[in-house]
Parts: sequence; C-alpha cells; structure tokens
Amino acid sequence: MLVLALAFNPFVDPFPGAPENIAALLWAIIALPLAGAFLCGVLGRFMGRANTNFVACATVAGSFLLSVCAVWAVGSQATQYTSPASGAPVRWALWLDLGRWFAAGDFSVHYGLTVDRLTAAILLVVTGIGFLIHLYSTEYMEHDEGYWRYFAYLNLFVAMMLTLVLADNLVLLFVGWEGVGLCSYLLIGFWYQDTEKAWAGRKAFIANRIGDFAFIIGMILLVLLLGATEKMGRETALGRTNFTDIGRARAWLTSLHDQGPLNVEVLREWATRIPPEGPRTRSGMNLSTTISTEGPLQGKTFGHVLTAALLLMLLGAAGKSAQIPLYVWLPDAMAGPTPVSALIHAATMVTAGVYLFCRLSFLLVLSPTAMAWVAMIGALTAVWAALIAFAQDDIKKVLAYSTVSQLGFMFIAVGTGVFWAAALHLVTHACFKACLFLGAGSVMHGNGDETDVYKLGGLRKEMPWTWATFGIATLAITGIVPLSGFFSKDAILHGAHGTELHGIPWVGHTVYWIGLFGALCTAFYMTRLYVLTFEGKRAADARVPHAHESGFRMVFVLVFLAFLSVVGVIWGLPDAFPGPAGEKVALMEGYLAPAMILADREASLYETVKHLHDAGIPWGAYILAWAVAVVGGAAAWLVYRSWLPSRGGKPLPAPIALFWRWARHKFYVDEVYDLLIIRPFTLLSKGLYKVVDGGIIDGVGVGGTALVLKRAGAWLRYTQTGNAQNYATVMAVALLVSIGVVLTWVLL
Amino acid sequence: MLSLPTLTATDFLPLWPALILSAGACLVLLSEVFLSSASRTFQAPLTVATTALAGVVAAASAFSTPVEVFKGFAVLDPFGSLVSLLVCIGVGLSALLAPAFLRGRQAERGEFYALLLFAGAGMSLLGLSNELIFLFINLEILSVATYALAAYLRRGPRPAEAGFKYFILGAFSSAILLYGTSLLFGATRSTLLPAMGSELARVFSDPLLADRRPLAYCGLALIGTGFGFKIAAVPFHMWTPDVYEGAPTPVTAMMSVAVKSAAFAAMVRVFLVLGYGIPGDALLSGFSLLAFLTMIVGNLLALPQRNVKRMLAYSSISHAGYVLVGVAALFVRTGTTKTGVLGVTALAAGATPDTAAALRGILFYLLAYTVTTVGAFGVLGALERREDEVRGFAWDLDRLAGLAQRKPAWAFAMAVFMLSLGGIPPMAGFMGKLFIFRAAVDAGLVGLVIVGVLTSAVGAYYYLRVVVYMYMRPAPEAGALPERSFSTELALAISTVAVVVLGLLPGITSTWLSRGGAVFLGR
Amino acid sequence: MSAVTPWLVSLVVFQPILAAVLVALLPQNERRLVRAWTFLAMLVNFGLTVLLYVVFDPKGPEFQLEQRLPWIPDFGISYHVGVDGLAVSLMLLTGFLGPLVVLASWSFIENRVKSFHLALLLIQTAMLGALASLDVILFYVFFEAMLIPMYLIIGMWGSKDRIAAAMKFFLYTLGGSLVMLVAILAVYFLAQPAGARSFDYAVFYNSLAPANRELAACVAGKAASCASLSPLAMLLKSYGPWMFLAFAVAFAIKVPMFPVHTWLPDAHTEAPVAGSIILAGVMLKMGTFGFWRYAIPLFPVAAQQMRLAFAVLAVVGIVYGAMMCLAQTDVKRLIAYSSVSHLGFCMLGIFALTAEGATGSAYQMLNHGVSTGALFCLFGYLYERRHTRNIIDFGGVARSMPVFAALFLIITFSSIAVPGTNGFIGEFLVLLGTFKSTHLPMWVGVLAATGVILGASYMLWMVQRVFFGPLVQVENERLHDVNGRELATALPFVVMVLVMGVLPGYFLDRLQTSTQKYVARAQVGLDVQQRDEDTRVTVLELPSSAPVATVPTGASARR
Repeated sequence: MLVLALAFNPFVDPFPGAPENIAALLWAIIALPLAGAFLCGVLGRFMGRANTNFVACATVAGSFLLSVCAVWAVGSQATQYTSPASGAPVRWALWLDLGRWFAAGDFSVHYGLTVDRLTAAILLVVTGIGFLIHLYSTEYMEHDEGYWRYFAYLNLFVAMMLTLVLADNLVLLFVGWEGVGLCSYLLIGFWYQDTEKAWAGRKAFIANRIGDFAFIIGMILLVLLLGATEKMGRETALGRTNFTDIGRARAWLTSLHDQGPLNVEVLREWATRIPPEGPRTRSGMNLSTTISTEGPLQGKTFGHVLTAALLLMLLGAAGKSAQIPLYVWLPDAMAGPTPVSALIHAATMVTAGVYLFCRLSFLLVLSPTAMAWVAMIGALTAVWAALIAFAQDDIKKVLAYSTVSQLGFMFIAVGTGVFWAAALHLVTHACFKACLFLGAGSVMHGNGDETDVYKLGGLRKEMPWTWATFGIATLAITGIVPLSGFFSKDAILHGAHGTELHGIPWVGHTVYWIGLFGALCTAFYMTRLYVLTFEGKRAADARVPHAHESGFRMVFVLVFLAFLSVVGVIWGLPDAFPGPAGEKVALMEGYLAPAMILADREASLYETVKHLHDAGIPWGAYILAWAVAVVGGAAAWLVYRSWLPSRGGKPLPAPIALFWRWARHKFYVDEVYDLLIIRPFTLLSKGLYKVVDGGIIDGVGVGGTALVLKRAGAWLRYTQTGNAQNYATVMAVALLVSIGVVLTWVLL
Repeated sequence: MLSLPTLTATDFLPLWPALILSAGACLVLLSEVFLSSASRTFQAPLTVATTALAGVVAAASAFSTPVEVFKGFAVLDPFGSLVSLLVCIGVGLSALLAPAFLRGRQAERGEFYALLLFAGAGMSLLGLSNELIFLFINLEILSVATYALAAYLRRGPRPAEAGFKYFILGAFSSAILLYGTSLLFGATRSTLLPAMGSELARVFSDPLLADRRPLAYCGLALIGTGFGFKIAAVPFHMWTPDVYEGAPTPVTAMMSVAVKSAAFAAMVRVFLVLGYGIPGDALLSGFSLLAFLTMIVGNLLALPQRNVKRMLAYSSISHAGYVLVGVAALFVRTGTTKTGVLGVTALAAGATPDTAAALRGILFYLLAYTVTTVGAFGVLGALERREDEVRGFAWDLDRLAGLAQRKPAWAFAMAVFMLSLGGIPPMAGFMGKLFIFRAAVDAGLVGLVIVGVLTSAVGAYYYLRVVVYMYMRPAPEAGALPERSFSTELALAISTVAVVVLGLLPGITSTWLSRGGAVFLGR
Repeated sequence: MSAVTPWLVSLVVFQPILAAVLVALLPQNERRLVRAWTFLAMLVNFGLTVLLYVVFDPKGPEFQLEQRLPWIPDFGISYHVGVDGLAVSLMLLTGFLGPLVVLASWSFIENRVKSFHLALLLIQTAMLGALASLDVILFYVFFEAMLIPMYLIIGMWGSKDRIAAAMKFFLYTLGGSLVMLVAILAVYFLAQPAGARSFDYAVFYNSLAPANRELAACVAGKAASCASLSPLAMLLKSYGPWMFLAFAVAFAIKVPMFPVHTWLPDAHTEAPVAGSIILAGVMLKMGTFGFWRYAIPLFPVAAQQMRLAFAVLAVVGIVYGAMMCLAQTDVKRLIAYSSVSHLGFCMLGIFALTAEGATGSAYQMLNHGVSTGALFCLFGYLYERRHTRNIIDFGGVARSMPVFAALFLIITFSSIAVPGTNGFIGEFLVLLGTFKSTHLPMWVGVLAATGVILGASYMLWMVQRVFFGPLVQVENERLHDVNGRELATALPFVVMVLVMGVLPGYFLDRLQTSTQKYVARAQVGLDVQQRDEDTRVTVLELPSSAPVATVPTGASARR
C-alpha cells in the first residue's frame, strides 16, 4: 500500500537507478505470468496443488514488483525518452522495442512496449489486484480438481491483460484485446460440463468478436488515413510549411515505415499535424481537407474518416466493456468462478475499452461527434443496466449489471473529455467492485454456492468480516462521502457537467443529469443487495443452515481491498495537490497530466472540448451528489426493511409490478436479439445449404449435366438395333445427304 | 498394246514388310500341313517373330527418301513405312494375346495366325498404295482376312453373326469405295493419285472443265464414305460394337488398332494427294463434321455401357474422332474463311498450318492408341470365360470387380490403360491428345479442340468406372481366374511399359516421327 | 553445395518416388515395415525441403535453384524446374505435412497398407513437382497426375459414399483443367512465331508482356494507343478474357471458389484422414498458386477487368462458406466448408493486387495448410475411436480426452485467427490489403471482415457440441486420450501455429520478392511508372538448340 501511494505521488524522490534498466525489463512483466501459465497448464497436474498455487501467485507477484519499479520510474520527473516516431522527448515514459513482428508493403508492426503514467495506473491495478485475486483463488478453488487449468487460464489472462496495457501500438494491443477475450471464454466455460456455462462462454466470445470486427476495421481505417496523409504530404509540400521541425516531419514519415502506422507515438505525431480546420493548419492539411489520393477514402474528408474509425473503435470497446448494444454477454459471464468475475469481469478486462479511449484521447478530442456518441452510449448504459439490476435476485447478476452501469460512467467521462476521471473511476471501481465480487464469492463459499439473495439474508452475524468489507464497498460504490467512490464518480459527473463539446453543447448537461439518475439507481440496488444479503434474518429455505466465515486468505484479501476502496479517496480529493500547471488539482489529474497533455492541448487549442472550471470546490454539486446517494440508499432500506415486509404477501401495485417483470427479464433484449438476428441467420444458412448447395449447384448443375449426358447416351443406344440392314441404310442415307449437300453447294 | 513393266530392285524395297509377313503366313500354313495336331506352341512365336522382323525392316526404311515404285502404283515414303511399323506392332501384340485365348477354346489352328499375317500384309501395303485399284485390292486382302478372323470361332452364334455383319457391310462399303474410284476416274482419266491430284487441280481451276466438278465431288464423297466405314467414323460406325463384341478378343484388338491405323493412313494419303487442288474448305468441313460427330456420339454411346468390350468398341469410335481432328487440321489452308465450331477461329489469322506436326500427331496418337487398346483387350480377353459368353455376360463390369486383390498386376495394367485412354497424364494417351490438339490449335481449329477436351472429360467417366470396379469394389466371389499365360502377360507387360514410357518420354519416338511428316505428294 | 544445387529441386521432387520403388519391393503383409519405410522417406523429404528452404536466398533473384533439361525438344517442352519464394514455402509445407500424414494414418489404414503408402509417396512427388515446375506442360502433367493417387486414396480407403465422392472430385477437377489445356495451347500458339515456340514459363510470360502493356494502355482509355495495337495485343483484346477464364476456372475449381466448391465437402467427408490432410493442406493451394503464378500474370488486363467479379466471388466464398458451416451436422463437412471460407481470404488477397493483400494471401495459404490440416488430423483420431462424424454423437469429450481437447482448442483458435496464432497475421494482412486496394469498393472488405465473427461462431459452436457439455453417450466416456504417436503427430502442428504466429518474419521474408513481382505483374498498366524489367521473368537462358518447335518439313519435292 505504501508503495502504491508513493508510486502515485509524482513528487517522491526520483527513482534510484537508470530508467533504461527498467525499460529493458518490461518484457518480463508479461513473460512471468506467461511462463506461469505454461507451467501450470502443462505440469500443473503433476506439480500438485501447493506448487501450482505457488507458481501462479509468485509469477504475478513478480510482475507486480516489476510494475512497481516501472511506475516508480515514470513517477519521477527524470524519466524521459525520445519518441520513436518524432525523435522528440516525451516525458515520463519508458519504451522498449523488441524488434519487428511482421511487415508487408508499407505496413509494419513492432513488438513495442511502453509505460507512461496512464499505463502505470492500470498496470498496478492489473498486477496488484490480480495478485490479490490469485491469492484469494488459492483458497476458493481448493476443492476443485481442475485447479491447474484454472490457474493456467488465470495467469494467461494476466499476461494478456498486461500485453494489452503495455502495448505501444494498436495491433499488439489487439493481441491482448483478443487474448483476454479468449481467457474469459475459457474461464467462463471453466465448468464446461455444464452446458449453460459453456454456452455463456461462447456468447461472451462472439459478442467480443463482433466488437473486434469493428476494431479491426477501425485500425485499418487509421492505417489508410495515415497513408493518405503521407501521400498528400508528399504532394502538398509538407516540408515547405513554416513550422520549425522539418526534420521531425521527415523523421515522422520515415518512422511510418519503421514503427508502422498503428504505433501510438506515430498516431500522436499525426494528430499534432492535423488540426480540425482553418487558419491553424501548419502541414497544409486539416480535418476538413478532402482526401485526394486514389483509393477507397477518395473524396471523403479526414475528419469524417477519423470519426468513422473512432465510432468503430467505440463498437469494439462496447463489445469488450459491455456497453449498449453488446453488454448482454457480461451477466451471463457470471457463470465462471467468482474470483474470475472479480478479476476479469469487474476489475480489469472490461475496462479495456476505457483504457483504449484514454490511450487514444488525442484522437478522440479531434472528433466531438465521436465523443458525443461515447458519452451518450455510456450514459444510457449506466441507467439501463442499473434499471435491470433492480430486479435481479442473483447476487452475482446484480453485481454484473452494476459493473456494466459503472463502466457506463467511465464512458461518460471519456466522452466528455475528463479522461483522468475515467482512469480514476477505473481504479477505484476496480478496488471496490473486486471487493464486492470477492465478498459475494465468500458468501457463496460459506453458503454452499447459494446465489439467490432471497435464500440468504442475515449473514451479518454469521460472516462478520465479509459483512464488514461488503458494507464498506457498498458505501464506496453508492458514493458516500468519505469513500473513494464518491470522489471518482463525482469527478466524472462534475467534469461532464462542465463540458461543452464543440458543436454539440447539450451533451454535457444531458449526460450529467442521466448520470445523476444512474447514481441514484446505483445507490438503490446496491443497498437492496446489501440489505437482502446481510440484514434481516436468515431465509427459511437457505441451502445450509449455518453459513461459515471464509478462511484467512480470503478474508485478508477482502479486508485489503476494502482498505483500498477507502484510502482510494486520496487520489480523488479535489484541490488537494498543486498540479503541473500550478493550480491545485486532484492527485490523479495531476498525475495523469503528462499522459493526457496532448489531448488537453488540442482540446484547448482547437476548442473542440471546453471545460468550464468554476474556481474552488463546487460545494453545491457535491451536496447534490451526496444527497442523491443517500436518498437512493435510504429508499432501498425503507422498501426492503419495512415497506415490503409490512405488505406481507400482497401483490405489488400494477405499474411497479409491470416494471418489475420487465426488469427481471432484462427487458427481453436477449430474446429480441435471438428473434431478429440469430434465428433468421441460422435459418438462412440452413436454407441456402439445402437450396443453393444441394439443389442448384449439385442438383441442377452437376447432377443435371450427368443426367443429360447419360440420357443422351441411352437414347443414342436405340440406334444400335443390331440389324445390318438398318446400319447399311444409315450409311447410305448419310452418304446421299452429304452428296446432295455437296452438289447443291457446287451447282448453286 | 500391253508391255510388261520393267521392275528394278528399288521397286521391291517398299514391299519388304509385306513380303516378310506373307512369307511368315505361308510358313505357318505349311507347318499346318506337316504337323500333327499336338504341338502348335511355336506358331504364335513364329508369328510374333515375323511381325517383329517386318516391323524392324519398316522402321529402318522410314529413313529412305520418298520414291515412287511400280510405275507409281506404290510409294516408298517414311509415312507409309511408319504405318507398316504401327501395323506390325498391332498385329504382333494381338498375336501374343491369341494362344491363351485359343487354347481356352480348343481352337488352336494355324489358319488363325496365317490370317493375321495376311491381314497384316494387306495393311502394310495399304499404307503405301499410291493408286486406287492397288489400294482397293490391298483393302480387300485385309478385309477378307479380317472377315474370316471375325468369324473364326465357328461354334458360338455371336462370332458367326459378327463375321456376317462385318462381311455384308464391309462389302457394301468396298462397293461404295470402288464406285467412288470409278467416278473419280471419270473425272480425271486416271487412277494414279498424283496424276489425279494434278488433274483435279486443273478441273477446279479451269472453268472449261467445270462440268466435271460434281463428278469429282461425288467421287470424293463416296471414297470418304468407304474409308469412314473402315475407321468407324460416325455415322458409318454402327457395325463396330456388334462386330467388336462378337469377334474373338484378340481379333477385336487387331481390328481396332491395326486395321484402323492402316485405313487412316490410306485415307490421309488419298485426300492429301487428291485434295490439294480442291479450292475452298470442302475437305475441312467434311472432316471437321466427321470429327465432331464421331467424338460426341462415340463418347455418349460409351457412357451407359456396362459391357466393357462394347464400351471399348465405342471408345475406339471416339478415338477415331480425335484422330479425325488431326486429319481435319491437315486441310486448313492459309486464309481459310470457314469459322465457327467446325472451322477455324481468328486466332489462326495469317498462320500457316503445320501439316508435318499434324501428321506426327496423328501417327503418335495411333501408336499410343495401339499399345493401349491392345493391352486393354488383352486384359479383357484373359478374364472372359466361355460359359459367360453365351449370356453375353462375359464382359460385364462385375467381372472386373475386386480385380485389384485377385490379380494386382493385371488390375494395375488395366488401370494404366484406362487412364491412358482417358488421356490423363502421365500416360501415352495424354501425350497423343496433346500433340493432336496442339496441331489442331496451330491450325486454328479451337472449336473442335474444345469439343475434344470436353468429350474426353466425359470419356474419363466411363474409363474411371472400370478403375472403380477393379479397385474400389469387393470381389464378388473367388471366381476361378484363367491360368496365367506367359504370352498374354508378356503382351500386357510390353503395352504397359510402352504406355508409361511413351507418356513420360514421348521424345524417344521423335527420331522416327519427325520423318512422319514426309508424305509423298507427287507435287 | 554448389555442385548439388542444380539438382536439389529435382532431388526434392523425385526422392519420394525413388522411395516408393523401395517400398514397392517390400512384402505385402509387412505393414509396420511399409509404414516405417514410408515415414522415413517422408522424413528425409521434409529434411530436403527444409534444406531447399534454407538454401533459397530471400535477397536473391526471383527464381532460384533452377534446372533445365530437354524433354520433348521438338515441341518446345523442357524439364525446367526452379522455385520462387511462394513455391519454396509451399514446398516446405508439403514436406512438413508428409511425415505427419503417415503418422496420422498409422493405425487408421489397416487394409492394402502398401498401396496406400505408395499412393502417398506418389502424390507427394506430384505436388512438389507441380510447385517446382517452370514449364507449363510439366506443370500441367504434375497438376493432373496428382489427381490419380488422390482419387485412389479417397475411393479405396474412404468411408461409405467414397466412390461417388472420388468420381466427383476427379471429374470436377479434370473438366476444369482440360479447358485450361486448350488455353495453354492457344497461348503457346499465339505467343511466339512458328519455329521459336516453347512452353517455358518465362517465354510464355515475357512474350505476352509487351502486348499486355499495350492493351493495358488501351484499356486505360488512351484511345490513341488502341489505334496502334500490335496484332498480338489485338488478339489478347478479343481472346484474352476467354483464355483467362479458361485458366481461372481450372484453378477456381481447385481452390475451390464459390460456386464450383461442391466437390470439396464430399471429398473431405469421405476421404481418410490422410486424404483430408493432403487435400486441405496442399492440394487446394494448387488453385491459389495457379492464380498467382499463371492465370493473373499471363492475362493481367483480363484479370483487372474481372477483378471485382472474382473479389466478390471470394467474399461470397468467405461468408457463404461460413454460413454452410453453421448448417452442418457433420464435423468433417463443417471443417471442409471452413476451408472454403478460408480460401476465400486467400483469393481476396490475391485479387486485392496490393503488397499487403498478396503477402497475407500467401501467408494464409501456409496457415490454412497447417491449421486445417491439423483439424482434420485431430478429428481423424476421434473418428478412429468413435467411427461417426455426426456432431450429435459427441459431447463432453473434453472430460474423457482432456489433452486431445486442449490440442483441438489451440488449433481451433488458430483457425479462427486469434492474434498470437498464425491465422491472425494472414487474415489481418488480407483485410488490410483489401481495404487498401485502389479498385475494390470498401464494402468488399467489410463483408470479408464479417468472416472474423462467423468463423468464431461456427468453430466454437462445433467445439461446444463436441467437447463441452455433459457426457451423455456411454461410448464417449470410454474414450482413451491421445497416445504417444498421436501426440507426436499433433505437437508439430501446435508448435507451427505458435511459431508462425509469433515469429512470422522468417517466413514472410522468403515471400517478399515473389510478392513484389506478383503485384507488379498483376498491376501491368495500373501503375504508370512501371518498367519492363520490373515484371520480366528472368530464368536460365534457353539452350540455343532446344527447345524449338518443328519447322514444317511438309511435302518433299518430286524427284
């Protein structure tokens, strides 16, 4: 923890030792868990349980320590490295190029790893919480004979997640992106004997694939975009323009071929040279320039293509981060072991989308349209999921929908340009949501894998530790003042409120109010969950008469996470620390500033995103947010502690009942998808198989030819009467005809 | 006022193969007189030896420069010599098949081989006759011998029927041929081909002689019909299946290869020599039409056949079609106007058709076809059992079922032959088609060639069906297989090796075939 | 080395047949001996291909290790072999699969063992020869010759409907290639003046190239250039499309492209495991290879004119093939249709006419060989145990055969192109190339990209039904996991999948030169500042004497 706090503090003493040494070790951060996965997977069955546990935890712990060093290194101002693209120094980042992966034509990709402050934040979450959850799992999975598979998958996941986070180019990022999807597929279907669970895994993978489909096209569009820029740059004299760094421009052009167009630094350089419009253009091109190079992009403007690419990325992120319309897989993903839900489906993987947009912030701010979409999608998802969570009785399902909803909040932040708030909420949410999930896991552990909240209840006394930690985490997520959740969520809402997207000013306020409503819902359903699980008295039809508290390892992890979700507050305290620009800002904002600097500069320079900062602490907004949380919580408390019990078995009022039924059935979205997309497509396939393949091609085409030929042959056989006279006749006739023809032909 | 012709030694040069064959025949006959019925085992070897010797002589004489002999009745030219070589190969291989076959039917008698050899002599003379009466006589020599051979097994009804049909229709066609000859004589006042050729050229160039043209056309048409019968071209093919099926299998083999080759040779010679003076595309159209019909009808007829012997008969028709493509290519003139499927495409615009290549193609095709077909009939003959013949069941596909387990070597050989007939590399049949089609495309007959490749794709189906039965169907019952016979297996071995070698290294024949283009045209 | 070099390719090509002679001498009933010998021979062959691959110099000229011997000199046909980057890579793939095929069918084939292994060796030679030949007729001979052993393999050792399937396979392919033969003859006739004609690939290409340029210029719309077309260019203008189609149909059937793909499911379904592996692994590549080497370079203008049509067919292949997979109830049929889908990517990459697309396509050929070959190989083991191909007969197999399931899953992920496996690089490059390509509309690429989703959905659906869920059938409970031999067969595949996914550079650099050349040749006329030597095929000089076609010796004079 101390290390953690230090690491996040940009003002600690510079990192002892040269940053290059850390940079040279970046690969190990990924390699360790990868090796762990290999060991557990191949030898796990023979190593025995204890060794497997040790290997799994040790490798993750190792990469945690390495990450801490890396973070420490980028924490100190000394760290600089020259951008591989521009040759210009970028502050506070490490970079390691392990050489070329593949190349074709003028496209190439490198194994490049980089750590800047954004990476640093996520890095600690992944390895730190990852380690804790490994630790927790050693106890949680102690009765499962598939433990070696489990830890192999889990280690592999960590490795993939780290690849995603460390990658310095989108293609390598995509490796992690799909890799984590793969691991989640494996882990959701971990108990593959249960058909339901196995199908859930497939559902998750397919949904992710739909996103990836968009992601790939998005990447390709970016490649085309940069290619076009380069070509036109050659034609319109990029060199002659007055800006000082012709050398940089040339370096950039060459680096396109070396690092490949999808390298983040290259994209960064590109972004700096493509202003939205008008007089500021230095390269002679801006986003409203029409692309003239021959190809599919011809005739479209840079701006439109960029927006399209970003929207495709949005769809990709929606797949990974369970946003509308692709969120449907996440609730089903709860089929996996609970620690997995905590690690993958709450803390790390599902936040990949948010991370992606923070990475590409400098592109995002160039396209207000895309930002608006991101924000609106986020807002809608936040409320939508929360509403569904109202009526779920499965403890994990509630948490799942709450995750979807929280991710919605992060998208709001990204969409309104307060990237630091998104990152902050990502971190805090990772802590308290992991805590919640692991708490739920502990509950299931102690209650014979019971997940129906109505069959639990009154665990407060039987599982004190779980109760306490779960309670704290609940407070954190509902956003009660002194806890981390409050500040992170409020940072988002506040930021959104004060944001004006160029051309679309209404977005900021709209999402603010929607988000506020979302917060209300959050408070309600979380409190409901807490109440039903821990308060009251034990349900009559509980699976086990007396729940038992979990063992040391699990409890320790719970406590630790609860602790984090309390102290997380320091990262969000506004006006606490002097930022780089001088004025006091939240710790996280100041810390991430170097990573977001380009985005902010563009935003202010081009006025695509305006942040209206009112001086001082916005007490009004705080009180409102706090009140919302309290009201929601109180409402839930009243409803479930007094109102419902008091009604006895009486049916609910009609409108509520209706809403209840719809919410319980997730508003029938799955059914709709099935009816509108999946069934028709399957039917079409089967139909085509019968009609086209079987009928037209094979039946008519192939079979027809054979039939016709055979028939012709059979028919010709009738001429073979076996009668010599006939044969002679035929010959004679043929002869006469030919002579006749010849003669007529000659004589005429 | 008749004066005996003075003959020089050179006049006899071209006759050597024929003379050797006839001598061999006489020897066999004489042996019949002196011999007890016991040991006739040497007759087949004797026959083969004779053919071999004749073949060597023929092959050697392929390098002499073309000369007319007997006052132009015959010529000694490489083309003719190569044809006699082909004939000898065909006859020799068929003779190798005979002993086991005859022994199986207690029909071992010298006449058989004698007839074979006489027929051979007739054919080898046919290949080099340069005068229509002489040609007609040779044709009759070989025909009469073949009629007898077809009906050689007097007992069964089928051979008699076959022989009879063959005789009637053969006589019919010979008559037509003879009639055509007389008409042409009327038109040209000569029966010597070169003289007739030049005369015809005059007839067609000189408007004063225009009234002779119909006569000439009719004559040509009649002669064409006569040959069309011998080479079994559609629509003069109908006798083929019945006769081929009825005749003793070795005879069928001989008929389908040697007779066909000789007839082709004679036809090519006649029309090349007579035709050069004939303007326009009359000959091209005629032969293209023949080729077209023959390829299509032959293959289609073979398609539904379950009786392998009949199937081979039809396939021999279709192969005549492919050779006819080559023949048609001979008559494409520079500046031919005729286009379309039966004519030339504009690809050939301004191209000079390569007659020599076409002739080589034809000869190579006939060679490949000879070794392949004799082999195929050999396997068939070795497999057939007398008791089945009556039911006409002897050659049903089922007789081949599971042959791969029962007689792997034979099955392999048969498979090779079938693939070769189907024109699938790396077998001789493919190279034959390649050369013919190459010549045809050179001449611009792309339409015909496309028909050719499509029909040969059809052909692959019924050839492969044989392979299917041999390799992919279980043997019906442990049927008593005929005892192995050295001579048969020797024949099979020779043809198998020949098929594969000719397929892989067709170049080895080029020393001879490159001479094949040299036809004595008398111009 | 240098002494061997000219013979190296021939050695690689014919070593299997020499081994076949030895195997043929072995006694019929000594099965183990036959298998062992064949395996050894294949191993040697693999070693030779590796050697070939190493000797091939990525930086060197396009065609290397050439050898030309006169074959049928008077028709201008020569035995001319040599390899370019693509050929050598595919030969490596062929060599790689050889021993694995023998191992995979070690216990699968129980009757007529000897003839089976002879067939394997023959087909090996035929495939290697087709890849290595630089003379069109030589190529054609090998191309056709490989049908016969495959026909026998399907027909003799296949399952129930094997005969029909074998027949279909043979006739489909033969029909196509015979039409190609006509086109070959036509080119031969057109390309050079009588007397100097040759079937040599270099002569074929170089003699057509100038005419193609003129024609391209004309088609590009410079009316002036149309007026002054050389006769050859005129002929190409009117007949080029037809000749291109003749070639294209032959190869499209082999690939197979929609709608001439229907022989593939039957052939794959009925074929024994070895047949399926070879068919999917190498033989289908003959189609794509043919497009790459012959159809498109010889008739670039026609190809450019029909480009959209073929690209669309390729995309239809991708989507339609995937949809067919969703409709299957038979595992092998499903994998077969997945081949149709994957080969669609190869074809799309070829017709994208961009460096990225071509590279991706070439790489995808190798990938498909490895991953689909592995799928068939692995399912072969399951088939050996259960003797059924119906998906419904399985379920929960992962419980009884964990290791097998793991292997199958890895290969599955490679086949659905998960990054980190070989499949991803190929698919990504193909898509990139398609989007980059200047003349294909964007929706082509978008539709192709849906293959990413569909592929996952059908493969995982199949995996789901076969491996996951409860063990319902009793037979499936008693399945024993893979034995050592089977593991030894499967591991190379897995290793290749990962190696090709993580270190593709080593394979890609071999492909670079031939990719550039291919794109240059396909783009004749499209890119203006192209010089003649960019596309020229340079090989060994033709020997002065041979190969020259016969000069007409027509009639000899009267004495």
